[in-house]
Amino acid sequence: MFKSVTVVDAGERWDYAYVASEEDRKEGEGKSDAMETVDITAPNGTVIVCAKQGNVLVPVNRVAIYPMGKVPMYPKEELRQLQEFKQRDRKAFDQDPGNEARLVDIRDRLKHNYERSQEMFASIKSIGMADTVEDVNTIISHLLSVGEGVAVESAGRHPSTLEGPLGSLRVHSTWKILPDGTRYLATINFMPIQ
Amino acid sequence: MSIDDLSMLGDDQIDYATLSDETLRELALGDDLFVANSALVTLAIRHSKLAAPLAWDILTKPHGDRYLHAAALNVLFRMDRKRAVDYMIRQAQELDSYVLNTLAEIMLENHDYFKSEVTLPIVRTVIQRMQQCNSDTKWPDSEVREKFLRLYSTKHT
Repeated sequence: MFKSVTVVDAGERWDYAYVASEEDRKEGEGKSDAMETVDITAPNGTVIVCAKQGNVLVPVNRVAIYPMGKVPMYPKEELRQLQEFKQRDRKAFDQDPGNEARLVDIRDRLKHNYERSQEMFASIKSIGMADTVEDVNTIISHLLSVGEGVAVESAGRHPSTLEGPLGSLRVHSTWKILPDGTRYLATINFMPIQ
Repeated sequence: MSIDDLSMLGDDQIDYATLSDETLRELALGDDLFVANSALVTLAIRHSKLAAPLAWDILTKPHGDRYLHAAALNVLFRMDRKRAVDYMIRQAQELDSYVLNTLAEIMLENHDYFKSEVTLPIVRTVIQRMQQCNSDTKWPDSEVREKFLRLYSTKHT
């Protein structure tokens, strides 16, 4: 099962290491001269791989995981069993508070986050893009360009349009200004253009 | 960590268990909907008193997407049943199809509760909406539709 994707700076290009049952590296397209890959450390010590261009940072996993349908599938069978248990014998189900907590976690968090990720990916596919290193790079490049236009005084939500081979998507990105003035991509959302 | 610091992290990088109820509330109202979803559910699992009013805010204000709304509906039903039922009565006809799927799941899980006279308008509306679905309908999903109609339609049609 897929677990994570990380970026490996391979000199002239970015490679993506998909961690699954065994590590597998996919060869990527040439990256823009102006782009580089950097590791930044968040205040809690988490190391975040970012694409960097000028004073703009785009965390790569924000693009390579969430909108690409790569939020892990929720444990559907476990959810079904918990729901059936609750319906069949409520008294026994309630005797262990862990049952309800687990049910809520799968049903209300894992499932919805998985479905949201799938829907975002469907939007991306609808404009002719796919879960490829090339298309991830295209989206990152788009966001780096958007970030360059973010002014310190207007950080926050920025709408833009992502062009794909078969159409366009509305992109809403939000940006955080780091203490050194760097623009850091905080969130992205994709919406079909009606 | 402050909200500002947390905004640098993705959903899978945040340790929600270490955050205060107030911080989780702020995250649930933020722009990262994966984080918002996880924060809301963490509050619900904690039985925080902030969870139900927060779920109500999410459902009734223009915030979030249908997945967050589905989570909020379940949280509200679990923690403030009267308000949830009021919302269901008013909104069942208009609910997004994915949220309708969640409403149907709530009704399946809590069948005894939906036997009352008060909840009858919800049952009738959901049956009607389920019957309008066809084989191309993604949400509510076919398994939920089948179970729901098997359980409710014979008694209410």
